Amino acid sequence: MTREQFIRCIESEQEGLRRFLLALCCGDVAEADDIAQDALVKAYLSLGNCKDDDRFVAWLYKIAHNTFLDYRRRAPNLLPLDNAAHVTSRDADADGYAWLYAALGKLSDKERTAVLLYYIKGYQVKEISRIVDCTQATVRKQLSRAREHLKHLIGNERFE
Amino acid sequence: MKDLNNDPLKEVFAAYKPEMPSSRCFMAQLGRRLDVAERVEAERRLHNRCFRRAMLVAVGVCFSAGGLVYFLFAEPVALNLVEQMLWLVAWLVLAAIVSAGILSVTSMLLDVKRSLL
Repeated sequence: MTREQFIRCIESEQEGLRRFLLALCCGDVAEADDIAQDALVKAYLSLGNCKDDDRFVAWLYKIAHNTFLDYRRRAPNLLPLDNAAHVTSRDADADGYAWLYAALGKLSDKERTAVLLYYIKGYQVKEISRIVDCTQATVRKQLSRAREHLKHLIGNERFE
Repeated sequence: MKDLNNDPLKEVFAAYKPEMPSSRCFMAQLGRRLDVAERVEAERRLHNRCFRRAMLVAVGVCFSAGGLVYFLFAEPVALNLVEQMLWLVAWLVLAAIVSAGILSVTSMLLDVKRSLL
């Protein structure tokens, strides 16, 4: 894949990827965009490792997820809950998603990733398990737990 | 994972459409970062190529010089097999040490050259 082809693919995918990362970062726009940029540069430099063009987008999400985990490892003190709390007063309020980010921030990184890939990207358990390098049973468990947590955190009134 | 058709979270995430900062700015920034990444990658490849070439030259020079010295200064006395082997091992170790020395000097010079560019 040439640089032009890569850019063309990214142009159509970047918004979805950034939204996914924004939710993963609990509304921290700057961090989400930094991770997206890093992930896309990494993807470009390792284009040779993407053997299957049909799975290119899933491969991008896998790199983005790994880059997110790298960021978390570099800043271990930045707990999801704290992150959501400080974002609430900053970026998220503008969009009106502070409640969602606060709820997502209370999930573990793994649960959050699974639930976002499932609901935002629409991936099935098999694809999610490839992206996060877990077994399908583990992903199913994470999804189930995350759904229960989210329902409880967001509150039933939003669903009725 | 039961009853996903009536999953209320589906609606929550279907309505999740946050405003993102300009895509054009994002792509422009990505373009700049790709330029830098390409330059760094090209530099790294060049550095590796130079280092590989230097390694081949250093190893070649050391083994040739070592062999030459061995044959020039070896006394014409009959050595038994064990002594011959010991000479050979000593020559190999010496050649490896000198090669490593040449390589580290070459690597240092390449680093200095890179930092000056």
